[in-house]
Amino acid sequence: MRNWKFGKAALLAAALALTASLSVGSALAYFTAYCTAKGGVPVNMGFTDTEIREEVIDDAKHVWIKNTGDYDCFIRVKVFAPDEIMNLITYTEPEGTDNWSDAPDADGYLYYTPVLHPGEEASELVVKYERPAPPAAGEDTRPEEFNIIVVYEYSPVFFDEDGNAVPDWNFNVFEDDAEQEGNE
Amino acid sequence: MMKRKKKSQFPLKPALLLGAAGVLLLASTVGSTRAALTYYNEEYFAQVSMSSIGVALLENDVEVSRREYTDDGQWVDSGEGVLLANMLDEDQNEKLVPGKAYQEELSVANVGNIDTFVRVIVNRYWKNSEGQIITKDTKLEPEWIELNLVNDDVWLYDDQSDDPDYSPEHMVLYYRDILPANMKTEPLSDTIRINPEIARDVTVSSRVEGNVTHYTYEYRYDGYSFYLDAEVNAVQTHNAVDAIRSAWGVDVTLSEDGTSITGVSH
Repeated sequence: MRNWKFGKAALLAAALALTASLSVGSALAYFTAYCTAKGGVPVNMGFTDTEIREEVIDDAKHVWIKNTGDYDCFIRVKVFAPDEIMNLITYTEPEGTDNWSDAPDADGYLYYTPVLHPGEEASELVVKYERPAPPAAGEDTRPEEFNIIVVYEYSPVFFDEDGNAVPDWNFNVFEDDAEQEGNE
Repeated sequence: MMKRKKKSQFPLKPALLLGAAGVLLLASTVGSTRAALTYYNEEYFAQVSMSSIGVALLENDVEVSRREYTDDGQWVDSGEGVLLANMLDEDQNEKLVPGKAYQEELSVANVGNIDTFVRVIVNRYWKNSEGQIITKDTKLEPEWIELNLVNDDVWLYDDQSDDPDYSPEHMVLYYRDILPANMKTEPLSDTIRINPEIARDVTVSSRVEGNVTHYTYEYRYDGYSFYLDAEVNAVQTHNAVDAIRSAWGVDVTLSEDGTSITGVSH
């Protein structure tokens, strides 16, 4: 009989547990749902390459700069010449474009306003020079030859707080004592 | 001499108890069945369909993931959705530009038949060029993945300041109001951008050929990838505080009329 008492208690407990589990189940059955999504994007960064092409035609240096690399950039040029020539240099865009500064900024650079995309060539810039007039009297000291040097640089494209593409001409990755290669 | 009848060993009382329990169980089942038979009409169907809950994640107003539960506990879903798939124009070989803001409007749609409260959990993290998750990089921070949050009048950003497990990778936003069935939320974000500081960390290496030294400059984080994981949770509005505590593990406070979430605590 002792065994049956034990069995009875166990059965009673099992019955209660079964019944209780029904109630608990319904109490916790909240309606829920979920869904998920994920994705990633690589950040491919690199320095682009640029090439300059220059031709001297009719007292003018014609300049084309091409982005030959894989990344957008901004470009700018600076012209060096003897002082008496520098004062007589003018800058034009024969293709009718208005992409270059009309005149050098205070830092001496002419800036190409648009972003130069990979594979694109900047619109032509013409650096026109004149020989100084001969002196009215006395010995003609004008040099027989002179050099006009066009130096150009590019900057990676950055974006400001408003999302505008901007250059950063102070972004210098080169060590002070490093010999730069092919960037000018 | 009469043979004395042997007393039955059958446990009558326990059997009765067990039988009673069984009857109770059966009764509950039969009750449902009977209800189904009794009310098997259009009205009944309408009642059942009210218990369908479903939620979807939208990216730039395009659904990328969904799950809907039906009344019988089954569900249909889209599987795990894909985010950021159209961020760059692959046909144009477009590359991500650090600092540039790209459209990334994340919103939620209620695709079930009952009103719900919803929240969105966003995880943001980096993987290096070998595909390993960056967890201990002192400089490449999750915060550099800048998901620009908007509409804070309807989206409650949980700053998790009281959560000991807080991580900047982990962003949780609660839609304050009840999201009615077949409606969608305003976007919780409008753009995503990578902090341009990532493009200012450059390494240099050199090699000597004859008397010429060649320098090679590379971005330290070139080839790294950023990731967004998003999970949308929806829960019934009836008995919302308890339901949210049970389903989401947080305590929320509701407005007096119970129609909006005013606070979250852990």
